[in-house]
Amino acid sequence: MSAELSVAPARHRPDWLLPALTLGPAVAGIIIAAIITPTFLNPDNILSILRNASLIGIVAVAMTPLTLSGNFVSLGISQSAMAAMVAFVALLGEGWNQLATILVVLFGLVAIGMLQGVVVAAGMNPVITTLAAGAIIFGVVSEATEGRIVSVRDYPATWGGGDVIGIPIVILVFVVFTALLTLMMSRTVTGRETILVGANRATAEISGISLARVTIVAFAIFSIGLAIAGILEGAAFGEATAKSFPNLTINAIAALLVGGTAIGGGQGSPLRSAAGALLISVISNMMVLNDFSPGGRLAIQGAVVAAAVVLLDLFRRRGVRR
Amino acid sequence: MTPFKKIAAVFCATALSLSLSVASFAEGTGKVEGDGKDLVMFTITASNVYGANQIKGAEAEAKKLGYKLTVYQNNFSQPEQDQQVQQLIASGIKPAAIIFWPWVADAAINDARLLAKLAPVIQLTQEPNEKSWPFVQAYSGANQILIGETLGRTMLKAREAAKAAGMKFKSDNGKLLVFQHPAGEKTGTERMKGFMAVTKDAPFDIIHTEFGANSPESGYEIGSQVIPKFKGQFDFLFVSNQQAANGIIRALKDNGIAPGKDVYIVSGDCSGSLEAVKNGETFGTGIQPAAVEGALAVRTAAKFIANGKIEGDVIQMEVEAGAPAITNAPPAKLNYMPHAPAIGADGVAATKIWGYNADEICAS
Repeated sequence: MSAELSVAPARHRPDWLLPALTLGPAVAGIIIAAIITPTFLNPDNILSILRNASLIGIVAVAMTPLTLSGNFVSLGISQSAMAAMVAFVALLGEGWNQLATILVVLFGLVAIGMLQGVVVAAGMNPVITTLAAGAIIFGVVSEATEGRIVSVRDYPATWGGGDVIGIPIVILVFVVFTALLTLMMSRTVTGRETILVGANRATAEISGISLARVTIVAFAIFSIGLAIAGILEGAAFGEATAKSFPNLTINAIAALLVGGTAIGGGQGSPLRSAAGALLISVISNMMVLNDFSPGGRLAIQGAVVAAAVVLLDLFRRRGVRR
Repeated sequence: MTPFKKIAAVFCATALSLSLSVASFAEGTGKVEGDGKDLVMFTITASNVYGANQIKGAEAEAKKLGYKLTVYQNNFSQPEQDQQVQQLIASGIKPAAIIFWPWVADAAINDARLLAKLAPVIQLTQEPNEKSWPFVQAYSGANQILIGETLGRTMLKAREAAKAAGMKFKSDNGKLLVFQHPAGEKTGTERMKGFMAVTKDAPFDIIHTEFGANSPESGYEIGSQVIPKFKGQFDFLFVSNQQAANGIIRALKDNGIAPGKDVYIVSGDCSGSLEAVKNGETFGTGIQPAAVEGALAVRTAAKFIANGKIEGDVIQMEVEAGAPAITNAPPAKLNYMPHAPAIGADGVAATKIWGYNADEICAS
């Protein structure tokens, strides 16, 4: 008896459809906001949206390779960015050279991130690992600062809030960082390996891809984004505490998910996470301008994340069935 | 013994033990020195500058008076505090008094009730409400109405200074944008009551109140969105605290508005770096000494332990450079810490309360 393998005719989903589903709402949100909110298109307001989207966006974009590689999300985002901010401000306050401080903070945070990557690569659950790391970092910084506000003292570090040819530095960094990571994920072997590991771990392993290397690199890239966020905020405020970045974890995860990156890995891109950050910022701004209460804002932001995740998941499942 | 008699016996024993414990409060030891007795304090985490200073002040005072102070810190979480109360009860420790800052006053009434069975409860920072007063002997902490009044007076001075500098107001008395504590937080509503009372003869035109600013990041996040909306429509800013004001100052500058020149800012309390007050970007702030609050709470507890009772309704501590000597007199029902305004660099430099200067109180 011969078995005949029947292959269902492939119904190709256009490549642009999923990105359109995630970028589309951002564009639609902007159009709706412009219609119902008179001051929305005010140039100062647009800059404000971009500034607020940038910091969250940098972190969400940096976390995208981590999620794409199948390591879910980090629950220690706020604490790691806070540690970078406190370290940057404290070292400047001690009279350190600014460039040296930036390098120390950057390498220090990457080392912490890679350590987490090693633990995850060894088989620990990434969510639990990052949660625990966040708790340790918070505890250590709290003890070290004794709850005090750390400041740069007389050091003239306010460039984080500055601009270059009229464009705020934080927006420039966001754009450049997103472009670089998008290119890296789509045009380099490391990027494609990262996506393959998230999409199909078994196949990636059989293909000879080192899961440990991919995981550690993803954590290192993520830590670079956290360090950048901490340094930028430190250079803008000139002071920091262990309580800095209180909402960064939830905001960055929301941006990443709204951007359409699959929580299980394998699908998504840094550009889409950037669009997610922009959409979250637009929605938040629209609600502030229309006098929504803080509770109402949080509820709607949560609802948007939930709706985006459910819709994208349904879309993917349909795609799989086909 | 029948089941009914058993229940009645348990009920009587419980009632007797409760009445004995209440009676033991009423006796008093006759002295404020603790001789190694236990004091327990429930407060917020020392990772917050206000909590850290409050604990520091309480520990120093407890040491001075000979009490052994154990501090339970919660990370701004009522459930966490609930667990800590259960832990204390389970530990079997019988402290001489308990200093209790309920994180969410309405949700912590049962905690106050349980703690009151162990020892006299001195409530800290948040004034008790009618439901919690039955379990609390005295309140020790900030007088939010007084702080609001101080802010109102500082804002009136800001208006005079702005007029003197030739600023043209957007309305006769000036338009005010308010960045308030999170919505519903009693601190903010009480302060606003005091503020409105003091400014009622020449009220500011409040054009908008935005809630939720209490840190540099939240101040910037909210300020950067609200300020473009009202750009060119306000003369004054009232901000919940100096930390939030530091974020809002950044948002003002982003929008081309010069704080201290185009708009005048007054912040509610000084938690945070005082650089903006010293350089004039913030016109003035209220110096709320958390360390003194902690020390006063220990003193209130010690005086209650000494006397076993309260006397009178209010003791408002005056601003003094050095800590006044503790007396054996009973505490009042409401024991308010000192509070002072600080305007400009001179005001910051001149401020000293109970041995702490403004930078130590606010930013260290």
